Amino acid sequence: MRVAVIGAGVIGLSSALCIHQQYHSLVPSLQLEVYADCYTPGTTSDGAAGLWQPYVSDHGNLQETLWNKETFDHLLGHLGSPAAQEMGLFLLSGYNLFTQPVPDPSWRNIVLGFRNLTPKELELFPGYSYGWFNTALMLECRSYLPWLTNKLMQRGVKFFHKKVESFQEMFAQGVDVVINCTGIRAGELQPDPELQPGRGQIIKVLAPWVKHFIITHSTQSGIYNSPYIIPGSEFTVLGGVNQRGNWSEENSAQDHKTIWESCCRLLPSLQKAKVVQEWSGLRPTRPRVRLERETIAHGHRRAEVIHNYGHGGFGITIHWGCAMAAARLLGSILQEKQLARPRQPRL
Amino acid sequence: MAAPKVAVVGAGVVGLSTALCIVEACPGCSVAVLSDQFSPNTTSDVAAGMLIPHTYPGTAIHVQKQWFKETFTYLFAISNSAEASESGIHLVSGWQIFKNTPKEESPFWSDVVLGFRPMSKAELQKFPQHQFGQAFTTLKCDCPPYLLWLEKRLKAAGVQMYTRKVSDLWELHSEYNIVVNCAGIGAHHLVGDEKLLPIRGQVVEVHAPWVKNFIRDGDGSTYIYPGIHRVTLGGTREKENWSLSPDPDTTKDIFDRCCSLEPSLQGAQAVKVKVGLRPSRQSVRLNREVLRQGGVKLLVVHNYGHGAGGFSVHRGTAKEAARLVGECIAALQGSSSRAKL
Repeated sequence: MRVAVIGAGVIGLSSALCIHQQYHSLVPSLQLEVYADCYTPGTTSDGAAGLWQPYVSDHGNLQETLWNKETFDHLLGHLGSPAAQEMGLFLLSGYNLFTQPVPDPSWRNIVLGFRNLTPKELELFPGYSYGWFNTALMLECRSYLPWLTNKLMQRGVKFFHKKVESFQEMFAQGVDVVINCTGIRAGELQPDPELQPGRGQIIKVLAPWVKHFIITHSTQSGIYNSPYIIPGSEFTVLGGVNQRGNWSEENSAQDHKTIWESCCRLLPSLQKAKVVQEWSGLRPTRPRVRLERETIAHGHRRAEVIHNYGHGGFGITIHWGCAMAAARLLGSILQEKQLARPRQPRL
Repeated sequence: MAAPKVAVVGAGVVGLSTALCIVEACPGCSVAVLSDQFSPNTTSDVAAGMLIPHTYPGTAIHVQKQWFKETFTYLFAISNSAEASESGIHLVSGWQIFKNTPKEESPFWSDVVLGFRPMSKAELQKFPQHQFGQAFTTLKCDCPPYLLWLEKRLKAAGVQMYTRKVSDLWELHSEYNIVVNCAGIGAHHLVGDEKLLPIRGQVVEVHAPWVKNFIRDGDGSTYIYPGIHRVTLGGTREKENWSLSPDPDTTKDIFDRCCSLEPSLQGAQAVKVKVGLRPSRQSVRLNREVLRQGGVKLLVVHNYGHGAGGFSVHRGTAKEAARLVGECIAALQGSSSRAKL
């Protein structure tokens, strides 16, 4: 039973680990492989600051809220373990700022210590009249992806550095199930007009005195189109751009200026921060995550694809819940295949 | 009379901030700082510099609260400016946890710090041995940066700094009109204050940049305070122990206690072990005194004995000391004009 994961960002690697953890002992013939033309530190996931935080409105998508919660609880459980530091996992507290009162988010009871900001705290942020404080998690992919990779290699999962051109290419090689974790480039394997880039640009600075995340929100600009500051274990990420439909991965001088000026206005101490790096990436934005099975005819066989892409700006936030869901979908496939086990050996 | 000459003895956080307050309040004065130690070798350099007040049994609570509030407000403004990184002042959030619920669930300073509230059940799950906790956001003054920043501002204001051991305040009477005694633990010998005793504290500074929240056991014995570059792990409270030598068994014990609160510290590399002697007293000595010998007098203002709470109240007590210096100057001017008649 050959299962190929395409994509080695946070979604691909976590799906692979989840699948291996659940099925390797139940299905002795399980052969798990990862295919990608891009590995850490070059994936979209690597550019993300790594803060666990869903969007402020879930648009009634309860399923995604549940996956977010599963991810948070799973990570929280790992916090006290020796692996936490290797994983790049740690607690981080901070502020969400608004220019007017907003309803509490779906995740208010998932994070720790969620509360509204006091008037004195709001004095820190002129121009913002309402906000939240809570403690959430950081999961830095520059540590997490290598950690996942190690876990997978220890388990004998094989990695291939190649660009997969089509699902058929995999099936022709004898792969039974493809887990499609191709993120923003999923459209290259199968057109998906709902999948659009949400271009982001970030400036990485040295500002170790910053101990809180600060995320501003503007109803007109839309999510992540408003300045944000997220301190990591080594660098602090400054951002605030989310351009729909922009496929450019080149850093823009204009965006740099916008981000730098707006973040310095938000946190004056940043004026003395040293810029270390600039990066642009494309959030794989979709009205909802595509997490579903698709049966594809391949000659006489029925080959299966499990799609797991379109996580927008909340991939890290939702990844484990989606990995578990993808594993469950594989479970049903495995179940069905056992019922329809071929009598003759494969030629 | 000529510009009053003021000597501040001591260059820790209290000495330097007092000198600065004097410069701000009495622009006509000539101010000098005299100390046998400057940063990074003062007691203040060992402290994590967290703004979490210590309660002085001998001082009225409303006075302590006023000192804390003034200090907090002053530092808050700097932390929110472009000078924040140079000054070492930054906001930090975290938890104070208790194995047993304290009698007083809200301390006197709970409305001065930001966002003070009891910890939720979910937050307490991180600390299975503790049944109650408080979450809040406060300020931290990293040393040496804060002391160096104060020194820079003093120098810009024309204050001279002298490395000099003062053995007796009287030895300054011919050079200065007013002496401000901010000698900290040094006051025990300098002015013979036997009620001022050291409470020895050892800390371990580690490299653990993923620790962004502070954790403090409410009994004060164990704490984890993330600074700009290092995390301070503590501590000890050894009464009347004058030893400044780090003890390796103590280091291990501090590390173990901190790891039980924050397991990820097991992966942290220790960078430095430090020892400081908290200049402890029932109350901060903040008053004026006139020393006389023959027909000569020396006006003294005392500002020492801040114990474990130096950083928390330094600016408030410095301002009060500067006010007392102002009274001394008025007294000098009064007597000098009387002498003219």
